[in-house]
Amino acid sequence: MNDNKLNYVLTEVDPKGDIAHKDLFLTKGVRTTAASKVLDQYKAQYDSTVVARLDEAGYVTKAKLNCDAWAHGASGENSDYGPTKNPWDPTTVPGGSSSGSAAAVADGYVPVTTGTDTGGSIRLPSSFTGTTGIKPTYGALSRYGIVAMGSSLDSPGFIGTDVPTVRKAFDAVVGKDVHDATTWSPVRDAESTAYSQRPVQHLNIGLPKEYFGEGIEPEVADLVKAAAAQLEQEGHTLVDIELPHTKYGIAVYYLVMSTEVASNLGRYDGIRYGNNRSAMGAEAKRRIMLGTYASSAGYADKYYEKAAQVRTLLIQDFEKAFESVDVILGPVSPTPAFAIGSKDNDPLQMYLCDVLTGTINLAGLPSLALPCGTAKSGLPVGMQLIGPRWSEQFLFNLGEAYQKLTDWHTQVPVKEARG
Amino acid sequence: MAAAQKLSDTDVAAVAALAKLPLEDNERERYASQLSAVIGYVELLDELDTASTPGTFQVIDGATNCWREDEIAPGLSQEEALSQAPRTHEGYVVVERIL
Repeated sequence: MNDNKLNYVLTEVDPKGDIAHKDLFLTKGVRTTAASKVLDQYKAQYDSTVVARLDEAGYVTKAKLNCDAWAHGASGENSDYGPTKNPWDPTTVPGGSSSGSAAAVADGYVPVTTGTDTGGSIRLPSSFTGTTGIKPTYGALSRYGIVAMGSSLDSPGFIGTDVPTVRKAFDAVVGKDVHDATTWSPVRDAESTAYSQRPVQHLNIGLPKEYFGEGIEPEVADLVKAAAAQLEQEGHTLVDIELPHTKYGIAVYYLVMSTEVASNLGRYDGIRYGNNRSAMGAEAKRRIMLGTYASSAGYADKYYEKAAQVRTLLIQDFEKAFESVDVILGPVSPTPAFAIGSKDNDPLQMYLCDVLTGTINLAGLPSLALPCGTAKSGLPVGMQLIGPRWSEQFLFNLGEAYQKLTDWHTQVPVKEARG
Repeated sequence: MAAAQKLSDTDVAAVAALAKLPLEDNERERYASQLSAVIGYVELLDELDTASTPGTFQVIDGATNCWREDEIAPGLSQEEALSQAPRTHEGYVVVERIL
């Protein structure tokens, strides 16, 4: 039973359900808040495509889950309904923005949940809670009926107990949707099929220098390197690579994302539904103002356009890397879960949590987050396998092979510790 | 930092007005300082010469002009469409007067 002490449930739907949704996903007739007071009493008039396809596949919705309001956050603390807590240690954050999605899986509430990842929002909470999370290729899953954040970045996906659980949900919803033209890639089918048939043996696994150096906690780097060494023993080859523009990733991400946020949240006027804009929380206001400023007349060239140009360089880094490696391996987060409240009043420090994840969204790539160890504090540490576009099945195959070698994904928090 | 803030309280008020965000008086100063820190940080990008680099605005490989047949399909009923609107009048949403 869930007593919701960890505050991951916002609205209960069906106690017999087997899946739960981040409250960004519209669910017909059910309260859908995006964890913002602007949508406090909003009842969705239709289902998002992802939810409709899950329903069709036989999944039953158990609850709507807490998250950072509008998916703005790396910790889960920005919810207008209070922070979600990490089942491994309730004094720490579960990671965001899909905070409830990760906490619900780690706490054993449901085996799989939906999430969204715009700059790390599935992978960060997965890594902070010892769960498995897929951030799919941009355009793999329909965004229709999901509260929009950064429209060139938003990737709906899943968090679950292990790779097969996540893959099953992914397979039930992946594909073209008439309601979202960004799912209409002409190369999707051929590329996905080719990657699904590719054997996961004798691979070249790239370790980006920038993902293991300055700013990354040595304990985290060591655990991910140990996981890489384990894969090497299975016959794969580790290759040192460079993604030289990584250090610009956060600057690019926060300019592109906030500009898109300012545009998307412009629709919340309190006229057709919801409350008016005075109900926006502090982080939403910050991002709307940052994006409005960065894209306003006189500043757009210097900030938004410049960011779009550096985005090209970041994409070229990945293209070059995939000429010599099959997959890239690195940590998800520079640190394990941090204490609730420890980054209050310093938004920039919070933004830097996305340093190893945001660039992947800017390039539209898929990435699979897997637990790969435990820090001395007892908190889980996660790694990510980053692949070329449409390589999800290849990443799942490699991730499943890794989980057969290891038992990190089977470890669960001790509930008694919560008191 | 405070000596060379990128955004003044007045800038914040102007941006908030553009974005139609109501701000309390005491919020302006805080946002001016926080947004200045972020804007100061993103100027890191000025290190790079991007004069000949095209911008990337989307990452959809090759999907352009996604046309489909214009077919009639079920949509929301008027009742459903209006069900969440705070103010309605004879089957319409009441909007703010703009003229």
